[in-house]
Amino acid sequence: MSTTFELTPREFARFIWRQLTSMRTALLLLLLLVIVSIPGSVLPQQNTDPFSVRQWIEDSPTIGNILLKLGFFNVFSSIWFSAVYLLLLISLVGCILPRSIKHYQALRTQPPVAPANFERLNIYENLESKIDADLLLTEVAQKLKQRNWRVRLDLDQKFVAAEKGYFREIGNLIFHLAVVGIILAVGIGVLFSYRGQMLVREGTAVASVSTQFSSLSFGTAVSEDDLPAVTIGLNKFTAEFERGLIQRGAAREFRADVSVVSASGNQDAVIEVNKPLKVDGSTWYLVGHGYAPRVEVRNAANEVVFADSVILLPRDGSFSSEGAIKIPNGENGIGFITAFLPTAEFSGEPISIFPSPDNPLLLLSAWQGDLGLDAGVPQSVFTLDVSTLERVGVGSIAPGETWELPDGLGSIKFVAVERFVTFDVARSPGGIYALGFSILALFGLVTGLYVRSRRIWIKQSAVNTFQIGALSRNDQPGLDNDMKMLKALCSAVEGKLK
Amino acid sequence: MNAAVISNWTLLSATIALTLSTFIAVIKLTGSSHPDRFAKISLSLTGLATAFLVVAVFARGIAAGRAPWGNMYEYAITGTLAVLVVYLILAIKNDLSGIAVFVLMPLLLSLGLAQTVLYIPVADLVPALESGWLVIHVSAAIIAGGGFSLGFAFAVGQLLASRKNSKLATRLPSSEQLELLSYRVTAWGFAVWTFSVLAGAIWAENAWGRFWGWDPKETWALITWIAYAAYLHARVTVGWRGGKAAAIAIVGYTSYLFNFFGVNIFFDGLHSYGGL
Repeated sequence: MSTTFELTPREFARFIWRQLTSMRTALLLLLLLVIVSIPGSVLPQQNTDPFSVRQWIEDSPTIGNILLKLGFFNVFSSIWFSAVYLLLLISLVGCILPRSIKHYQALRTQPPVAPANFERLNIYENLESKIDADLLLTEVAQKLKQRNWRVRLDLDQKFVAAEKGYFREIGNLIFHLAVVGIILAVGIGVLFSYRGQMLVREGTAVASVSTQFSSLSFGTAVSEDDLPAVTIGLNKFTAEFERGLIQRGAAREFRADVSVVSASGNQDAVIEVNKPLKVDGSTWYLVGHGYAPRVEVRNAANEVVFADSVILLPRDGSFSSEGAIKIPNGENGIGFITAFLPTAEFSGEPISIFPSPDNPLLLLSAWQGDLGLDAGVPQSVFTLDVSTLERVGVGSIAPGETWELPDGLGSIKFVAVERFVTFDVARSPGGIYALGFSILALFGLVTGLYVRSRRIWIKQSAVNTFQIGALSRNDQPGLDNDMKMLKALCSAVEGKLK
Repeated sequence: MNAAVISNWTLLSATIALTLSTFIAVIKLTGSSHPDRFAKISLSLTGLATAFLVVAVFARGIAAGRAPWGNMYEYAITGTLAVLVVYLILAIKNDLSGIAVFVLMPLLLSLGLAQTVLYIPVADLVPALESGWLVIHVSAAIIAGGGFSLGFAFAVGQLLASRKNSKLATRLPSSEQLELLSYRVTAWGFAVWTFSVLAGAIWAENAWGRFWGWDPKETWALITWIAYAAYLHARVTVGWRGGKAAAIAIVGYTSYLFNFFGVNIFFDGLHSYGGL
């Protein structure tokens, strides 16, 4: 006994390859994929919920930062997740390609010889017949061929072997290859896709140029030049909410009436939640909405310094919304922290009790000083940094009302309740290919699960005695039907030859 | 009486019939002098419960004026019906009386939860659900869930039946028979589940502008799918057949259940229509 376990690099590589492409490894990789997917749903993910990720890390910075470094907030593009599914993909291809070749060869060879021992088959039976064996076998083989069985007739060893259900394995192979196709289509599609979000106020229009988007991301193979030249104007936005007692306040209808200007022509259109608008290769989805109260601000000299609608971000299901109004003017700038309540009710703190504007109220907190907008430091349009400002006062106004600021600083008027909507603009060209492969996969799956692959034999075992038997190569019922069919064939042949 | 009231009353009747049926199935399993008679009575009561449930689900659909699966309550009662229908179809050709308890008990639990914790009165849908895909995507998920639920019950039975020196094992169908039944309904569920995920992806593309976005519901649908894919592979892998494969089927069912309850309760995502 010496060093029989030493492998050459070539043998070692073959050993690894065989291990990787074995069913056992595929199985373990599948189970591993289950385990590594779980953190992606338990922890917030950067691509879907960056705000919660930040919150999580702020709440527990030590663990948070370790998890962040390890990719737990980006599970589905992390190295370890990719490693598992790439290994699985290699294992799959390494398993399926040889199997395809093997099956192709099987399709070109004859069904196997009759077993020596029929008792080992799923079903077998003895049959007495006085008919000449060669005649009987030839006739049965003939009839089986007519019924689309692949038949092997051996008159030396006195048997007929027949096989059916090759599509089972073909379906299996198609399914697995199509799964690879889906993954490739998704992966390559991402390179050619873009996705952006923009906020549009009622009565205004936006063009699909990168500066108009509040967020915009591109796949590696596309850039800003690939955005179609589209301008969409929001004429009107309608939102209806449940007014009955059951599920009161739940969303019932959202509808955006828009005017579209594009290279392919101008049109009026409607965008609803499940009805996106397709324009020149881009698709526009209605994904959100909120209030944008229209206000008019006058300075001490009673001159209008600001007259526009202001987008406020919804904070809860009743659409209490928050934001800021900023009118820079050096040291004498005026800023408002703003809260809007569509249906205000006063039970201690004023709150909104319904998402529709039944009793709209604008709450304002006014501040004076240098707003810092000229300093070139980017800041959020929805918040007002009051650290360097001086408080002027607080007020609340309904539509049509005006709040005169103290000390003759000016006034602010709540002109009207208006709304804004959020559109997602996206192109994801991989989808149609992924769909094609998915349909193929489904077809392969059903074929692979439900086509019955089976073999039947009839063999002369002694003078005037035949054995017939059937072997199922799947877990579907129905083998006894094949057996009955074979017996019926034999007796038909017998009757005919008598 | 309006349709919503009819739905509630027939659901209660179904629950009572199913309780009796379960009770009798327990007596049959724990040993009685007339096992065949008890099995027949239990099966008839199951049929009666199914009939009541058909009325309950239809009436709910009529009351709501749409497919009766817009929230967790409706999903639970329609899902229970799906399991019962598949169970009865299987019971035509197979003697399932030995395993009936394992099927009926979880269903009873499901109906009980539906009427206590999950119940919400009839209401319209949020706009996100108003689409023809609701009928296709969710009904497929419900039907697949029916297959998975039965597969789970049979897999548990299979594990119990394979125990040696167990008195219970002798009263159950053979573990081989249960394994095959479990496989058939699970494989069927897997195919329908695949279709449901596919239909969901098409709908997501149509409603949200992406066919896959790692929403918690999507992630757990995939986890469920992979777990059952692992089960199908385990059945044909040396060393994993039988008990271990059954264990993987149970893992798959756990993730299916978690996708229904856990994801709706614990996670905030785009699929938050549960009504809890």
